[in-house]
Amino acid sequence: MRKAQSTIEFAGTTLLFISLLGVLLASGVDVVPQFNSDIETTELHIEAERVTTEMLTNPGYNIEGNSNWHLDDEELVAFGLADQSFRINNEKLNSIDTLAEEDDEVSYNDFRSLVDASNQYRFNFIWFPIVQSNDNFEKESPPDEITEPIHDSYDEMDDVIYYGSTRLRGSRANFLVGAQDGSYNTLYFSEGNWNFLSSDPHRVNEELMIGNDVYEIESFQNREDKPGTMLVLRKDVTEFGAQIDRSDSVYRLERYAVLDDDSSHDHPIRLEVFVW
Amino acid sequence: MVKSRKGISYVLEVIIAILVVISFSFGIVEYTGQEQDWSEYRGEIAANDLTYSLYESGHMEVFVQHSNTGSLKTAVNAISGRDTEISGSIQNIPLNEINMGFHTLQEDVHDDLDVTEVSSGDRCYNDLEEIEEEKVDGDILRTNDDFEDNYNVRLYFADTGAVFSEDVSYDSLWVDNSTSCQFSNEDGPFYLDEIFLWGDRETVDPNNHFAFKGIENQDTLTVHNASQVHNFREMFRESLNGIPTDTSVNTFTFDESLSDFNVVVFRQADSLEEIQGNEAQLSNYLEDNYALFLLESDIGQNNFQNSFLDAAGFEWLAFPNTGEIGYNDPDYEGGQSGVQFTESGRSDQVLTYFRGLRGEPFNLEMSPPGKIKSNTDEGITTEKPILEGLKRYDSSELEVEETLDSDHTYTGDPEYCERYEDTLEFPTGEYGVINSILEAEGCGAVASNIDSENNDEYEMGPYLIGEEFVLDNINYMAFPTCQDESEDCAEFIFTGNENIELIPHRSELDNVDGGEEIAIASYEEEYEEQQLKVLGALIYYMSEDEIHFEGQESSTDISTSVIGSVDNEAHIPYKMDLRWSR
Repeated sequence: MRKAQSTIEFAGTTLLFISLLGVLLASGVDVVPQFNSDIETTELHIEAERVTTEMLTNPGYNIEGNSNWHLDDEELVAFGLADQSFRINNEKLNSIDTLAEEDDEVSYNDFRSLVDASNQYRFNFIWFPIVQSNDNFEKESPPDEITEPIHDSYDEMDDVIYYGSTRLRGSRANFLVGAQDGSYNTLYFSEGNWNFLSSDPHRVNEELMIGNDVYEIESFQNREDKPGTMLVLRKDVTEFGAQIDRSDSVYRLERYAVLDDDSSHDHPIRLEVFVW
Repeated sequence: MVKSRKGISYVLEVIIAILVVISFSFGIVEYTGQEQDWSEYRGEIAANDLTYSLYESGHMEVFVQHSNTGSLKTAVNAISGRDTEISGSIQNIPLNEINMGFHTLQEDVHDDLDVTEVSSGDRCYNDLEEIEEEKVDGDILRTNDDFEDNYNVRLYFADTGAVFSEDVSYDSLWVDNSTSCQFSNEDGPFYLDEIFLWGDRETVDPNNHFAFKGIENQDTLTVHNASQVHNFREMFRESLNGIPTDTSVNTFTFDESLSDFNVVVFRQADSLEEIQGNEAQLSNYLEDNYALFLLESDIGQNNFQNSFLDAAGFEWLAFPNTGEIGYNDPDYEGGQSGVQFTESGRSDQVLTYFRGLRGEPFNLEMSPPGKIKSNTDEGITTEKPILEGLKRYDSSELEVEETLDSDHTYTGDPEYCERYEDTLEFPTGEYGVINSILEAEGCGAVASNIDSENNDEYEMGPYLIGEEFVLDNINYMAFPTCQDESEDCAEFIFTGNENIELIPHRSELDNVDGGEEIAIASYEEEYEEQQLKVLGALIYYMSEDEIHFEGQESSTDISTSVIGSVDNEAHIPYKMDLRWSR
């Protein structure tokens, strides 16, 4: 029996094979970071969607199995803000605080470990009360219950005034919406009644005090053939999460739900999510 | 020699190994990155969430109720904060701005009423300040006529510039009732085509609603009777299920244009005569709009024959051989009867709107508009019409039962055991009928054939017991042996819907290419509240449309849908499709 022998062909072909592997490795290595970063982005998005969906569809539970976890300071085993899908419980929202100085609050760190997050998050909760103002009257002939404002700017408004109302945090907020030259851009506000005698005019981006809270005027409806029939307010409710690290790629995601509060009408809430 | 062979084998092995490795590595080296567009992923999540939030908070329902697509767009744009625009459509919502035109019969047109200038000696001379203030040009005119005596109320006319037309010089009207020369908001001005009350509700004198149609030559006034039209207008003022509606009513004769109307209403059989000569104008109108005909329940077949409705495809229930069909109940003569809605989509929709107008089906009684049938593809009777009455036609008049003669010419075809033949009188004509006893392991079932083409081919059939067919648009079921085992007896029973059809309706018109809908209901001098509501519901059903709206940006592939409902007395579902863009 002859033993295998190292020959020139053997050595040459081995070398050739090794160099091929080397070439492949070299070209492959370039691809790997790209592949890695794609995987990271995918993971980040999928996690962000999972975490926020859980927040918006789970009520959260404490160690005793109670979903009203905000009422006591028992430890949480599952995190969530919504007793019903996509309805954020206002009281639970008030029980989360990035630094959680109190025992019955959920801190950012608690949150991250509860939802098993491997990325960093920052959340902004912004509430958008919508006031539908489909009814209207002509200036100087308001319905009996409404007392018009006495103000120069009111006198200069177009003839047709729209009015509407909503309940915000226990206050009944009543509004008159007026136009200048066909564009609805001014509101008058009265709390609890329709007496606008001493009301001042307010425009977009101005602040408005309703009850004990500050709201901003976000937008007036001026489109198509029904201008004046709606008004959108804005209130920044709370911020929660880490400081945004600009050195990393930060992705922004938006989720929406309804803010569920016994002392207010239902209005949409925007959840701005920054994840990195 | 062995050495070199060994060496070659190494080479071969390596080459193959290299090829294998290369083919596996294509995967990695070819990696071009993910195709996933994360921004679209985020956009889809946001769009779905926002659509749901607007729906869940109840704001979507208010937008739909008011057909307020502008507010919907503004809300989306404001809440998303990213200049997001939407466009889309809302389906299954009735048009809430309907312009109705009521045809006025010649007998209800008064176009020869006298008017004259207000001059000294007249009761309100120099005392018409309210009119003077609004007047733009010309003199003030007043009525001078029998009507004035009838109603004890004088009318005044002036030009206020409300109507921008050179042909129109007097466009406004005031009613001087017991307030004597003083005019409140209710007394005017009424503009051209508007409906006013000639008379004074505060007195015992008669009063009536009329439509102001214009003044010619400064001396002749034209008005149309509009009392019934006024009742319709009052009914439409109610909101539909909380959806505010904006319906305007007008009267017209054929010398006016129909183009502004969404629906035209013809009243009484006489209107069918007045359509003659104006078919082209009406057909043109029906290409994009719809019509409702209100006909007396005792309208005769001769009013219907050769009328526009006949040409459109409706049928009168009368047949060449049996004549006009009668009613099952000998005491019933075509008057009002209780009603029932059926299970068809159309009927359900009309019922929904009826409930939305707070209608009560069990309190509704209606007469049929004569013996008119929709006559659609289904046959002369409609299985599930929009509304049917609890009274029935006498379908026995449509039945055929007869003993056939033996067929002596039969020489013995291996397929048949025996054959019988005769000519039978069907409601629509005479046709030959054959009963044959089929050969199938011995003489067995009896089947009937009909020679509907009268060419001895008997191509209709063979029909065994219980089989259904349509002959001359009438639905029959065959019962060879006539249910009593006599093989030479042929029987055909009517299987269509026997209930009287209260609202015949066609959405395909034989005399108008691509024509829209026509519905027919009974005419009453004075309608009861429930009857007005069902007519209103019918009109809303016919006016259902899709609302389309456009956003301000070009759209992406992101789209969401909402299926919701406007809930009040009734549950009116809607479907909204949205396309999103940033």
